[in-house]
Amino acid sequence: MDIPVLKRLLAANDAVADQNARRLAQWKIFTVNLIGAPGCGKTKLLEASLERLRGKPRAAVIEGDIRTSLDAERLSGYETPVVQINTEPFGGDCHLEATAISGALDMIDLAKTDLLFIENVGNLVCPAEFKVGEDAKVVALSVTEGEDKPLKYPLAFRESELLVITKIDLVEHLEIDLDRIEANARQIHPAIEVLRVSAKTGEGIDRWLSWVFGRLSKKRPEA
Amino acid sequence: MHELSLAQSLLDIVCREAARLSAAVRVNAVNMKVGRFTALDRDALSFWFGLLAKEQLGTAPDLVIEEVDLVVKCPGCGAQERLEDPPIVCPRCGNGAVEIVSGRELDVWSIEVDEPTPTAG
Repeated sequence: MDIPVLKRLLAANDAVADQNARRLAQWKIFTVNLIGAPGCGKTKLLEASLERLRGKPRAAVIEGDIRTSLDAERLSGYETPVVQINTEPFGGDCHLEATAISGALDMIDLAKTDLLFIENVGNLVCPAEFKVGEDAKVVALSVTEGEDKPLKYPLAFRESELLVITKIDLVEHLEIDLDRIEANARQIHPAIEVLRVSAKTGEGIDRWLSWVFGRLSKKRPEA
Repeated sequence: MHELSLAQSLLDIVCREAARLSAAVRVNAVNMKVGRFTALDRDALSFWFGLLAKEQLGTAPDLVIEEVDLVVKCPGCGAQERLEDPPIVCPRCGNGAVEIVSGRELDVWSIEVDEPTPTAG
């Protein structure tokens, strides 16, 4: 006997993600879900961002890693609340799920937060499939990873509104064509926005923050 | 490996649906529809689902996964076409602002259970 079920596998996660989104919307917090491979420069991008922001607007960070609080320690010097999530106790999950974010939000004073950066577990595959309550997914890809990655890991680029190409200060040492990266990303997601940055030299960080501010002001048009 | 957590979600859904039918119902198979444009390793999902089901149900139902094509619809020229590979643009007019009609499914479609045995009284 065949019994219809017709349920989405991710329905339970998405329900919690929607709860998170409503909670963040209540405080008009613009939330970025930052995804990218291990070592692509996600934490460094946040370091450079917090360095510039210095509390204006007020940011908070949720750091996702399988183990260690090394990233949270790196981000601890910027007068910004940082909550570290380790997925290891739950089996070393390769991505953040909405319930983990829900718990982390309890540890942040949302009334005193304008921007929330969620740094996902380093991985270009799994995080793309999971909503956590974000306004936008942003994918970071470093110049050392190669031009073909958008074609090899298409979902991350399809789901992200913005591609941040990182470590562009290294381009002179590499045989890499940044236009090719952009073209490949647009094969997967023609409307994706693209920024080129170096968190090390600071190049492009202003444009990245302008993007963030633009999205924040859309979320709170009266401010 | 997010297939482990997806396998647990799948098992939770199956158990809930089965319990709604009857406490003693035996689930023989689970039918899923999975789109081509998803980050899912089907073999890993089957492996974990089998393992978790054995542990938590005492038996592992067959997991039957039907693949769903990636189909896009073009708001420009109205074409609705199946895509085999990137680019994700309208294959007729090249428009990039296509809407994904199918291919992102991760759906539990149905479960196959034993016919209820008629009981006296």
